[in-house]
Amino acid sequence: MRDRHDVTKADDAGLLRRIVRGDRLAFDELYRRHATWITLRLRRRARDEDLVTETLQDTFLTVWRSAGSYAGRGEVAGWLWTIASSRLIDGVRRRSRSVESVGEPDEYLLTTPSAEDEAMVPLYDARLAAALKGLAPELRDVLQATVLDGLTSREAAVLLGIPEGTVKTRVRRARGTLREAMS
Amino acid sequence: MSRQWHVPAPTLVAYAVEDLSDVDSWSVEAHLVACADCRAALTRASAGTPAAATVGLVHERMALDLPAQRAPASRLRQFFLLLRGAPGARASWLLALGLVLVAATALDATIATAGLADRGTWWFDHGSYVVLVAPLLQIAGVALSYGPWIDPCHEMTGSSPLGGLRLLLIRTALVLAAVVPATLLLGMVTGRGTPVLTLLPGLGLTTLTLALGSVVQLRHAALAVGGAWLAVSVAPLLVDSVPYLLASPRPAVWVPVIVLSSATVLLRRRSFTYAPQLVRS
Amino acid sequence: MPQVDMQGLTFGYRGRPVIEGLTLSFGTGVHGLLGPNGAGKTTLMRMLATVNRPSSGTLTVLGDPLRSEHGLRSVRRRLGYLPQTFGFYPRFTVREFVEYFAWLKEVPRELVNSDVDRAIERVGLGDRADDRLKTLSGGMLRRVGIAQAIVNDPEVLLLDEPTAGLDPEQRMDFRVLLRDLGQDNCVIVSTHLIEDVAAACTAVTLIDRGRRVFQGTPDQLIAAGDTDVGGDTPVERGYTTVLRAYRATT
Repeated sequence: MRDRHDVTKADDAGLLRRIVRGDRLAFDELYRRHATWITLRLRRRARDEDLVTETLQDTFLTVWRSAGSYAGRGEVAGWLWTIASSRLIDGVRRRSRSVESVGEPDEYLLTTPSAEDEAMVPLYDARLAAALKGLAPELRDVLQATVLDGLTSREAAVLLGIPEGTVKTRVRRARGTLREAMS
Repeated sequence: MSRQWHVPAPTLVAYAVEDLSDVDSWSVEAHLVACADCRAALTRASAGTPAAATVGLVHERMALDLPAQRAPASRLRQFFLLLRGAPGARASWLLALGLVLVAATALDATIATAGLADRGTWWFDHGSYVVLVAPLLQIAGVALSYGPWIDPCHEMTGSSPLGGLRLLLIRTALVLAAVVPATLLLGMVTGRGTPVLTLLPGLGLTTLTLALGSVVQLRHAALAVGGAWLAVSVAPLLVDSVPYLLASPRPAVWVPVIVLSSATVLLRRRSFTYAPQLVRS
Repeated sequence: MPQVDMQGLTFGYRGRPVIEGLTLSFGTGVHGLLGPNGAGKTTLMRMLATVNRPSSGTLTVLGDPLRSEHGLRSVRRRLGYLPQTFGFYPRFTVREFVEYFAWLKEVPRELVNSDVDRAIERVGLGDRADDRLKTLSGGMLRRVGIAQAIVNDPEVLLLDEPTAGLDPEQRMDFRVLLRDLGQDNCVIVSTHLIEDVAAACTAVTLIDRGRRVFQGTPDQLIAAGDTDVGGDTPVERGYTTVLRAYRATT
């Protein structure tokens, strides 16, 4: 019963240790802390609401089952996203086989053109930011998948619904464009 | 957790309602992974958005069918599974090995009283069936734990990275870990056979079996080594002379055997990489 | 670069050649490997699975010529293999068995539980995960075999007669799984059930007496069929026609 009081004070790794012992309160707390940003990040990568819902559920079920396998190194958030992105790819695979992949290749991708010029978060330097904004959407997609999400080109190919070779070509092209813009 | 920089509130709101450019969203996402404060702020900012609705929906669904918790994938569980996968770990084999050991102990305890040896012979005063049998059990354990003739999963094992020498060594270690303490303990109970006397031949014959197993099939290696051990140990007893290897530990014999055999296994480790061509379609 | 490439691959058993100078390559997709009994299909699969070493010729898997111990080991981490004679430990539960192979394939510790669950769910055995193997039917055991093969998310997946013992409905499910796996991996399925190939494969290779007879798409095999040869379906007719033509010339 002591747990009930200090579950909100535990850090993420502490929550995972409790989840291993079957602590539902710790699981709820972890969910409360992380579900929203994971959902938003998933939503930017998958257009289909059901796919997002399914992936979120799969992700946290995996967390529940495999909390003990968190190695204790690095941010728990990073570990969670690794799980979420692989579950997302699983979901895309399941779907593309049920529609027999006749649909548009980009069916599950959000390709919103960059709508506004919000004040740039100072994580990239301004020239890089400008160069990124100038990239064609399909090049940005492969960069997002391979650089930001850390997917292999094979996984990126599944997620984006394009051949692996195309992913590699686009990454090369994107890198070239950026290099040019930066020089 | 305080950090020097946080995502400005308007940016966070724009991200929450999914109205932020791709590139800026990347910055937000990269930052969120590392910043608990901004994650909490984002959760607050997203109240009433479709994302928040999804979060609520999934939470409800999971509350209903969260399965019972399972033991995590620990190193202990890994070794337990790798051990159980050894065909030699089958209950019947273990039982047989255990029975042999118990029988040997019982014989040891009664050598001097039950007329198992003539009074005045070396065996009557010093002989021990445990010392004689323990190394055989070890090499039998090794031969029974690895190989296409005994492991129903050998083909799948053979195409896995841990298959081959690594798995063989893991299993050998497990066999030794089971047999060695048991024999030491039994030796102490009956008072026949010093610990060194059981330890050195066991290690020597096991490494020798592995070394020979890099040239011929492991089971044949075990048979040859076991047969040689019996011959060298028992033959002197038949002609009533003192058996050289049983009478004292003889490190001068066993240490070179262990070192040379281990070196052979290391040098010839490639021979365990591919399966012997035992079966064909 | 195809995931699997062989140049003049030969394998002999007790002086008798089983595979003779095979030059073939397999890329992404589902490849059906067809051939009459004794054609050398299983021997070939064993070599591809790195269980047996070729007598001569070169075999390159995932870009590695399999010459160094280190290269072989890293290739094996990315392989999945279901042998024709699928042996199992009857006292293991489904989960224990699949986990056993996850360890053997050096799946990282932190991924073992989730990858095992995922593999079991993908073959549709989620509700039997804690049942002992000895209580399962033949068709279920095959699926356990497939689960252990895919537990490490392999880039090259070798399935030797995977549909043996499956009932028609299970075979349908299996084809769906195959198509799914073949989207981004190299899947090689050896089978004598020609219908499976037509339904699930993107490419077909036909071998006979250790040599290549045909490599192409299922449609090309169908197109090769004469109407006057025996066989219930277009693919079977194509298979028979091509095989006969090959045997007539050798």
